[in-house]
Amino acid sequence: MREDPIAIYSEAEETSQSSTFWILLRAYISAMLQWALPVALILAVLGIWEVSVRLFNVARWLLPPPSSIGAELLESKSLLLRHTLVTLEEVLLGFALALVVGIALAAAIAYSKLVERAAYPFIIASQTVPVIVIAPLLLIWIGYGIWPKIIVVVLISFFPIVINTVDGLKSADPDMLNMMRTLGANKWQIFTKVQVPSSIPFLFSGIRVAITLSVIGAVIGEWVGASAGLGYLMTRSAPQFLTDRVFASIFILSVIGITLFVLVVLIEHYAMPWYQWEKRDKALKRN
Amino acid sequence: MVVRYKPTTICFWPIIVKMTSSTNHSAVKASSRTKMELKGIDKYFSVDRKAITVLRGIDLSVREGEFISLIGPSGCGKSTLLNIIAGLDEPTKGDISNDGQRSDRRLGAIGYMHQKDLLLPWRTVLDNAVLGLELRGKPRSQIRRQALELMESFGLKGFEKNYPSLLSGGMRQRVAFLRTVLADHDVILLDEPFGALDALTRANMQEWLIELWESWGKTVIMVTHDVEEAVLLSDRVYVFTSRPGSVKLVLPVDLPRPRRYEMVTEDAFVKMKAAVIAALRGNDVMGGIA
Repeated sequence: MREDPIAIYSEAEETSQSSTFWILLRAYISAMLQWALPVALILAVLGIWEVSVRLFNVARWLLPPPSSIGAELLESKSLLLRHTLVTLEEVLLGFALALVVGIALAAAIAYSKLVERAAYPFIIASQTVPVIVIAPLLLIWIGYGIWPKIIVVVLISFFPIVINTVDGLKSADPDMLNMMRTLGANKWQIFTKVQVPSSIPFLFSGIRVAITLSVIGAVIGEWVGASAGLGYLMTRSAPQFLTDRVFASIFILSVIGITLFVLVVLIEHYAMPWYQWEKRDKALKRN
Repeated sequence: MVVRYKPTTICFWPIIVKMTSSTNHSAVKASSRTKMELKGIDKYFSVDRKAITVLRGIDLSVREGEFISLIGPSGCGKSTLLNIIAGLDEPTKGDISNDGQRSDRRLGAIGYMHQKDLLLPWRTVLDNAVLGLELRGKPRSQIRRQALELMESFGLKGFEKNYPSLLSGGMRQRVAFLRTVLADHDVILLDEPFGALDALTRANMQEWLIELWESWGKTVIMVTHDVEEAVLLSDRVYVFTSRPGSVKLVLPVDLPRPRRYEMVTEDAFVKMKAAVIAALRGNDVMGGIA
């Protein structure tokens, strides 16, 4: 059972029922405004887009209005769905692999100075070589199929996970580590009971970056050589001037990215209740 | 409306809480057996290839069940000395013996409470408290029961499942105390345990610690900046000179126990306080001349 920390602070001011009502109403209105403003902004952008395309008679194949992109989404939904599922599979498998590889590497790096010195040059090199160059090579080595795409996704998205997790594992307060030693903890206990938990918030920051990069990775992988997926669909549609289909694919990719991001944020929230309290506590102290 | 957290219970934790075995606390006295002895401790640090002497020729002994304080100007190496006693650091020269035997493996055998509470923010109050026992591989249900029994006398009842960030500074410090107590070491080091607390909470915590210790019979070595705190709590006060730190004065405090906070205004107390302050300030004058 967790208690609301606000209760501790607000208990001092006894509020009458009518003023409680107004406070709740104000909180409700400000919460609505928080959502209303971004939604209004998106609607405004779409509206300006629609109106200016029609007003200046821009050709469909050059820039389709939002309405015809919407129509395309409905018309070709089975086609789009088929390709979406292929891309989603690549994204999720690639990301899962990147997570495993990233965490394992980070743990090894944080645990041993030798591994750190040996592994870091390779990790950084893997990021300086453009993926767009590696992808065709993967095609030559492994051929078509899902694996070259998954490898591209892993190559792009493991990096933020490794870097953040290493920082997180090293972020523990040295006084805390000494406290553990005076309680008789060995190196492994210090690692699992202090360093690992204090790295979790950092790990989640890395995951948030990695999950969006995974979507990009899958599309790049499909661009180079594929027979299915949204990236493939875009490369096929553009030369045929099916511009609304390209935009529909872009729309779906953004939805995938945003959904996965929100999912990560939700998991983060429920996996680390203590971190939410701590953030809230800091915010309260600042006020 | 259920008033669970009254502000008063947060800020002014009642002083009246008695320890379970406090009925005979006046009977607890330091025995004559030497628990721990430091002989000729020197400590140098090398900074930019120059050796800086932090501690010089420290002789210090503490009897079983005794409460001693180390007081001195900032940077006199008191915390370094505690680190050495705890086994986090080794002296450059000198011997440390525990129970009459040379003690090379002190780490994990001596309790150490830092000025910061150092609670693990991802653990609840209960899970923080049992940390020391958990590290020794004791069964979970047993150590939890042990901790829950003590929650009330530590003023933490009802907060067992809260995360540390919800607690006040005084409460967090008591959780750290509970963690140190449960780890059950014979010798406990306290590094300015109340340094980060406000004056009122600090006075309450001092009185609480007196009761705790008097019912408890552990050997305590406390570092402090506060003359009053040192005299009020201790059997003996070690006054240190500024760097390099060495022992300037060892003052036995023969005030009766149980001690009460009101004693700070009594003549005997004031005299002892004056002696400690004179030793500390004489120190400053010497520093000014040199």
